[in-house]
Amino acid sequence: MNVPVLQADIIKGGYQDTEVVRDITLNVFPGELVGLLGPNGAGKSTTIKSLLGILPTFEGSIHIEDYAYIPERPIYYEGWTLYEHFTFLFSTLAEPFPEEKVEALLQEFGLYDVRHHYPERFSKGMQQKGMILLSLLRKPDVYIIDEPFMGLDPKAVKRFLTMVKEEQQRGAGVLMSTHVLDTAEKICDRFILMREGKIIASGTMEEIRKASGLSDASLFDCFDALT
Amino acid sequence: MNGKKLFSERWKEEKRYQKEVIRGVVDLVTFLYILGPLLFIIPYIYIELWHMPSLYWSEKLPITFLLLLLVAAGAGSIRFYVQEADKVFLLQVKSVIADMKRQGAVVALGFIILKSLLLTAAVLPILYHFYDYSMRDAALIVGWLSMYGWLVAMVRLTVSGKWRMKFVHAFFVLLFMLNVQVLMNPFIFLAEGAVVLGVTWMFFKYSVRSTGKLDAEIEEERRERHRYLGLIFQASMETDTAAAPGGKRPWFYRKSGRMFSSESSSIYLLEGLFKAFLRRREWVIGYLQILGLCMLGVLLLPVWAKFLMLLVGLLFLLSWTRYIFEQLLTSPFFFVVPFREEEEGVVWKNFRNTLFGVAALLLCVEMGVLLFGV
Repeated sequence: MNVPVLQADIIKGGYQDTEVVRDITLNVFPGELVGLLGPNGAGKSTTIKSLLGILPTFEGSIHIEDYAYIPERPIYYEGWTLYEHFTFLFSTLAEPFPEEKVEALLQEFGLYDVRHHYPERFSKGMQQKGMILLSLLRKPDVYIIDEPFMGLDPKAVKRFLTMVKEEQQRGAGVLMSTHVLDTAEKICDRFILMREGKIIASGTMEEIRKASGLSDASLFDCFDALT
Repeated sequence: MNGKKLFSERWKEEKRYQKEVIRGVVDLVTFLYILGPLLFIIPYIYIELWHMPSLYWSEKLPITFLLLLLVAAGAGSIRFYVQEADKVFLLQVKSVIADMKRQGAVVALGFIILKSLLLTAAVLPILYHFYDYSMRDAALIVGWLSMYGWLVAMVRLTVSGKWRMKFVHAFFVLLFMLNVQVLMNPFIFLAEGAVVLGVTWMFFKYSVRSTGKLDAEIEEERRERHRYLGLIFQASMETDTAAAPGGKRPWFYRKSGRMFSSESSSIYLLEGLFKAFLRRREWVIGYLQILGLCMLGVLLLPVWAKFLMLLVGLLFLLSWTRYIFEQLLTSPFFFVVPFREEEEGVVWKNFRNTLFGVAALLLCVEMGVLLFGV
């Protein structure tokens, strides 16, 4: 039987005095790419924080073993060069550092020349590329990705999507929050639409169309109708 | 609003802000028990400095050292209170920015002269008793110190490039030292003063109109505005105080090289923490300051107080090291790539043994040398 790599049942989650998300149930299965969609303030980032276990107020259960997280705003360790982030990553995986592979990827993403620089000084797009590489090299069971396309150039987006596809083929599950609906429609297997902290529709493209009452409509139109 | 009026408004607002910052720290108790007595004692110390200067200074110390202290305290900067939002509005009316710079320059000149006067007056007893400087010489020092401070202030608004700035600064320091130690002559002062006047005229006519360095000027303003606040945060262990490392790439281990040869994950984490520590100037300076103060205390205090100083210093250093360690581990990056929590204990032990251990060893060796002469 197919066992989900991510299973969440969030009864409520939020901050000190505010409850932001409620009654969220979601599963991600191996090899599946699930799009987490919703307008600004719908609770997507709070849902992701619930999954990571970094919300001050949380009630519910999360089952997630080995995950990699790509945040919306790239997070680096102040005082480390980009390259040192990679060496640290592999030390935590107890794997020998694959120098040639890392350098080839850095070359491919246009980060090779700045590998010994502080990533905090990079442009937003370059920071995001570094973050994506750090996560993809981990080879976890599931990826939690928050707005990955922000600041990425088209070439990097294409390479990123190819790498995500390869990871899906390896059996990794992906939960991806995004506003880029055209791309999401093309790559996601299932969708979860959120509004005001709740799931308002979920399922495949067909099921979303049915929920919105718009047969043959694009995800963009369904999103508009449902939210 | 014209530049003069805007400058005046911003200047008043800045004074209000700095007053609030200082009032946040200096409450009535602090004033009564620390600042008040200090203000009361300073005139007595100054009088004593005139009567018994050997209590405060040694004739063995070269005058170069004193002049370097003077010159380090004497540099000035021109503030014209430009803000981030000005990029949107004032860039379209450059004459307003130029006006603000002119006003700022005049105010800065006043402060630089005042500061030079006070600094020279403070060291006057030493200059007079130990190095045979007369009142006329002291007046020349005030003049040269003012010119030095003024030139540095103008250069900061004109010259770009960190290294070029350092070079020009070093040149002015050398010129000041040369003037005071070798060329103590009113005619040379007048000749140099004429050159400075010419430079000033050029500055007021041309440099103030330039907006090419506006981003850097806004950043400098932000730094100046938060200078006292920064000092307060720096002294506080309750807030995260270290600024991000400067520059595009590190000074230490520029090519991301390894510090240790071990491949174990705990050593990688330890190495990462050490690198992050060594690359944050504020922390390294803080560590050296604490260690330096403890060593100075042990050196100067009577024997019973040496032991007290050693004990208090070591306890403080230990708690400071722990604080830094915790700060280093609270990075949100560890949500992206978590470290193994079970390794925290081992890493802390190694981190403590190195940072605290080195300081403790130095202090104990100093104590041993002072007590037993070994």
